Amino acid sequence: MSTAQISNLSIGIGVSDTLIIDDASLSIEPGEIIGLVGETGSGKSTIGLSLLGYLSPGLSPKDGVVRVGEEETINAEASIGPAQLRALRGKVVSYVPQDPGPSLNPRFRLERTFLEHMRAHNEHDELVVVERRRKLFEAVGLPTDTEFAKRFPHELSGGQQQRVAIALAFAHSPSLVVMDEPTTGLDAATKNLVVALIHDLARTHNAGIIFISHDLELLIRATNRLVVLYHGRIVENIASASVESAAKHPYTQRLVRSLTHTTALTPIAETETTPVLATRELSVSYGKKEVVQSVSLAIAPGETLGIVGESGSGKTTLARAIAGLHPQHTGTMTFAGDIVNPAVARRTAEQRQKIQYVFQNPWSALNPRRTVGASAALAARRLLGVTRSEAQERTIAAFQAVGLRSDHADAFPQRLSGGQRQRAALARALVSEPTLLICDEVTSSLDLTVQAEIVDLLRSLQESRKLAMLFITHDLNLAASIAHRSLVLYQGEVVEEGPSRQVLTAPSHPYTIGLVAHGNAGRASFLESDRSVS
Amino acid sequence: MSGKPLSPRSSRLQRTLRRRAGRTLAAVAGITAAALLLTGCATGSSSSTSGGGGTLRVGIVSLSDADALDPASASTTGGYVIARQLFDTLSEYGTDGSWQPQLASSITADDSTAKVWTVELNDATWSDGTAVTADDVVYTVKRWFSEKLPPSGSLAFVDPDQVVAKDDKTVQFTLKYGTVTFPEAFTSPTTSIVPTGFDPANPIGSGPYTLKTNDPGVQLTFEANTDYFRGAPGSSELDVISFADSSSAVSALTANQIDVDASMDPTLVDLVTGTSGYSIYNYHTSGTLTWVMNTQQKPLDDPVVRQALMLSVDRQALVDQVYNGYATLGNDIFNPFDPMYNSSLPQREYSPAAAKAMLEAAGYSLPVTVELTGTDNQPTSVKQNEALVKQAAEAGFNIEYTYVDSATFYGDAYGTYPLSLSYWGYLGIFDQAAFTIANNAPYNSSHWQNDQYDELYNEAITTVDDTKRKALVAQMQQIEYQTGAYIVPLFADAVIGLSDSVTGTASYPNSDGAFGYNFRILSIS
Amino acid sequence: MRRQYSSPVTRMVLTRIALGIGMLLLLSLIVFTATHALPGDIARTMLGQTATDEQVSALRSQLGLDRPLIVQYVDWLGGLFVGNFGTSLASGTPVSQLLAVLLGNTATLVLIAGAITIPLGILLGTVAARRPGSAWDVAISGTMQTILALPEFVVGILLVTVFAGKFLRLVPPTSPLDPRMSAIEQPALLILPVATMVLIAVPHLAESVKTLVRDQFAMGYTLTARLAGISEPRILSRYALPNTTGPVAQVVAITINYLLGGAVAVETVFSFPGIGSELVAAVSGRDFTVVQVITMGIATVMFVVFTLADILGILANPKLRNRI
Repeated sequence: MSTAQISNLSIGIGVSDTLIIDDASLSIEPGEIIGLVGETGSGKSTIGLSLLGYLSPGLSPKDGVVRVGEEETINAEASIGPAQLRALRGKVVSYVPQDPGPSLNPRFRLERTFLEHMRAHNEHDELVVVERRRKLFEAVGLPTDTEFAKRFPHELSGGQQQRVAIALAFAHSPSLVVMDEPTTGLDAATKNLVVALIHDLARTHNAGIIFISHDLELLIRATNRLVVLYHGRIVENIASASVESAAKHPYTQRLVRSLTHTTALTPIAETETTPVLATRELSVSYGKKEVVQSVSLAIAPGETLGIVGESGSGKTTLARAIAGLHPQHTGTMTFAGDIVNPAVARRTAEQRQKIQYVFQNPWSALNPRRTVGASAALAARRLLGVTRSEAQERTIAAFQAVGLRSDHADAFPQRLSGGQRQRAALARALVSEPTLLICDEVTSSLDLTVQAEIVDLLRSLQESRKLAMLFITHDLNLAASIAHRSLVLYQGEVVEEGPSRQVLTAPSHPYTIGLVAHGNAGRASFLESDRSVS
Repeated sequence: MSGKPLSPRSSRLQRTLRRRAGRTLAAVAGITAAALLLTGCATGSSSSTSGGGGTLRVGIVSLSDADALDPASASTTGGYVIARQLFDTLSEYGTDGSWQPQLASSITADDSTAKVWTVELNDATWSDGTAVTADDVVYTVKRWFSEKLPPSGSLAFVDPDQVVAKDDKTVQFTLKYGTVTFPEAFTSPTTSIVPTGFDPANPIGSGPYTLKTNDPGVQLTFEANTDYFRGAPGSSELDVISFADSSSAVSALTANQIDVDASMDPTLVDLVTGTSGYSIYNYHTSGTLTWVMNTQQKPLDDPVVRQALMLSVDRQALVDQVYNGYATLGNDIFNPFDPMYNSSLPQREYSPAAAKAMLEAAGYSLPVTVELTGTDNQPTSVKQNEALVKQAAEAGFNIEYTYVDSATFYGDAYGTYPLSLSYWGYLGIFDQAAFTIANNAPYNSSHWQNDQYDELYNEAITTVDDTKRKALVAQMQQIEYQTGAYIVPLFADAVIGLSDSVTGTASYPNSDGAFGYNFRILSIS
Repeated sequence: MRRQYSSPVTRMVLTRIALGIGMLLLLSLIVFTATHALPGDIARTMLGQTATDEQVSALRSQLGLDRPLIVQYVDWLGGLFVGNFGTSLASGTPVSQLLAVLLGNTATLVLIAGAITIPLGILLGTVAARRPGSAWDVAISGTMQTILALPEFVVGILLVTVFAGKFLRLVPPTSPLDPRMSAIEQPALLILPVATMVLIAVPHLAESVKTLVRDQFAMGYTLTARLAGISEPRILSRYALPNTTGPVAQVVAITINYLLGGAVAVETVFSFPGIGSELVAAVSGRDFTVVQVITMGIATVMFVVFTLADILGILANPKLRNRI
């Protein structure tokens, strides 16, 4: 018997005729790992969630049935009782959310969250719960000690949060796990670990796994079968190994082409100028724990410095310290030759204006209750002290500079796509005309093609504006494609530094060697491939 | 000169809540009233909770922090209420409107010049048990002048050094100049007699009640003085309870929260009469809301314009619409309850055409603009002013009406308004004149000045012969009627809401307040 | 650990107190200036239309109003610091004595109204938030929106008409509390004022809580919990509600502010002797000392309430609680 079966499923918006999912059928066998790939908005998550009997508000089933085991989770003809769904969810079919940070209750320590998930299906024995947690945490490569379990979600790195989410999904040894972009934001090493983990879990639990991702290369390596969604329809359902030869649909073929165009890294001229930003022996602490140790760096005008490291390496902490968002640090920092205060609030208006920060998650900079244009205009007025109308003009100009239309400024962030949202966040940062832009994993939550567009955009902005950029990423390849120089951070220390290409091609430190060897070697620079596609 | 100070002020601070919260609250009041009316009639049974003489609960709009325990400083409703319950005056305006001796057994002029007056006292006792003596009267009068208390301003004819005790019960006043109206000057609650060495913090008086508790602005409670020289009051206890506005007080009355609503808005009468167990007691008075025309400001400095404006007031319409019929017509002269009142003058009618013709004949181009300033010194003030704006428009006037709050109205600009609405009355003709228009009167906000009038006044005030004096007063009022500065459109009734359990009512037409605040006359069953 | 937890709160409280004192000082100057800038003054107000200039200036001098404003201000402020609230100009009694009973009445009114409003508003808001568009949501939000649309005084009048009108004389229509007894001893007189305040305050609170709880339901972790099979009541009680503690504390603080403001209107409508009606009367009577003490008192209470709400918000948020 199949682990799960989707039969002729159509899902529409409300009572309208618009279909999000159009006549999809799919069966998942025990121990099978199915990769689900498609553009943003192609219905990947909707299909995944339908297996848990969940439809986003406003969506309704128009046709078809979804079964997990023998139980129905969706039936267009009959509604499924909440008790029945509750008994399945988390127990028989579980879910790994796309964005692990917000998906953990900020008030609960990890042990409490784990307990909640166990209790939901009547596992109250504390010893059993603790034992299970240790086992799963160990399996996903998290510390198993009690102290770690007492942490709050915000005390974890993004990679750690993702692993917690995966561990939680396996709490009750489900027969089916839906993973929505589970490797997003993870460094190569962790990504491989997660893939291995998924394989292991699928095998040991004999669980079916739906692996949703936009990373085709990863899916080819990690899954048995590949299902391609295009505009709500399943256009491809083939063995992952044969994708490159057997892909029939034009969209799949295009995806495959973007994989196979291997191009050399774009050489970027190295620059030698007086630094926009320089730090000397900068050490950053969380409480008593030193997270970044004695980092000295310098960025010249128009130069991009890549900071590469896996999650927990201290790269984001370093960036936050430079931005003034994490004042607890020692050492000195100069901006355009002037000493800057550790705390952003105590910096001069000009320094605040000239140093801008773009986050991995564009929501951090965009108020959901304001239009994105209003958020940008507000930044312009606060930082530049310009009039309302001038702020408006600058906002429009910035939106055009990042490739958005001026009417995008009137949209609320939730109305924009992920790529548009990140562009809007970029516009918000550019509106105050910074000389230093700190980009923290700005592309990691974006689809492949959109990632390439954003990197292109950043490069052209840098050229036209002589921006200095601090580009933080876990992806060495990506760093090499945009950063003139890169430094590699490992456990808070700089272990490697030099021209990006040299770091990538001739690493000296064992950690970097490992990082390079860990599977990125075969991957193409999507920058070049994207150009060829478009 | 004689004087009865300050009764017009009785409604000033009472209106505080209405004023501040402004029209909204006034609207609330009106809507509440209407809503109550609409709910129809129901069984209303009222019963008094205490036995014996019972507790009489009087609702009033409104008590204030400024209610003085010292009667000489009383300037508010609460202040008058306190003075009337705790103290006695030498004389009072009685139930027919004429003055009567009160604490005095007699007040007589010794000769035909009305310059020397002898006051004989009743056998009364202070609440500490000692007797009221002539020395106490002398002390009281001297205290007004030595402490510059308000009565010293209105009793200009009294020479404090010429007030002497002839014996235990006899006081002789030798005045600065003859004053026929001497006895009327001692009717005001501010001229209450206090014991020698009076301490306002511990107000010992001779009145029908003693003060039990005083929560400024909230409630006053009194206990009957069973030894009161005019007989024990009708109730053994008296509670005076403050309400924010007339309609709250009416609600409280018909819900048996109070027995007497002493501050009725005449337009709310139906709410009381529509509830069984409650009724209205009303009587005509000499109190009036009068328009004061400033003779120093254009265009009312011109007697022709003043005459035209007098013709532009539809008095009957005001009585019917603003006062719900609870008022009598006025004729631009004061106090119909004074025996000297000139009733031979023809009643002035609403004649917009004649007013227009007068203005045009005098060369004015119509409309003539006049600024009117008013406050809500009475529940009817705003409506009365608004009515004038409409009525006078027919007669070629453009009245620009401005409402200000009471403290602003009586502030520094008082006396400079071209046209304003003031609350006056409850004064004899001579006192009213002395206060407002005769001989550079102290409170002359009209700045009206007429030499012929002053001569007549000065002659009349010393003329003991009633017939001769009446002839002089008739001439005085004729001048006011023709060239005066006060439009007296009507005299408002006292309108009191009562529970049927209250008996003993009587009218006090020349005294401000319900029953002249003589709550001792009321019994509760 | 403990030290780490308490230090940001302690620092926040100290900063707040310093800020609050500064704010109150500034407010005292504004209140003082504003009351003295009102047209008319208490001497004229007390003496009225038969006031002579001589009497007015005598009274002003007796009340100390002829001194330079700055001297009056410093005197008054100095008094406040040593707990001397001054003397009511109109009655001559110490303000503290004048306000003692009224303060008790208003405190009783606001506390009872608050004790009903806050749980009721949170309950209604939560119930309405649970299922957008459900019958409960429609019924509650519809009712709340209707009440919100009514001017406040109309609420009071409706209550009077329905419950104290001629048909249903269930409760007294006005509330002239007897100052000889405490407010709580006169419960019948509290019913309508309390009911009015509850009715005008609950909709604001309920609607705000609804939005806040609904925001939590839109968060990722409620979806995760739901998809882990955790029951809806538990998601509400252990996930959504606790995470709204901070913002709800703010909304509750605003509600208390609203109740204090509402007390002014409600006390006036019902002739309820309290701080609010006294403030109205004191402004009208230009009794500056009373106006100043009441406004400063209300401002201080509001400052304390908002600070407590902020502290609660910090304590309820592990991220802020831990921040160094």
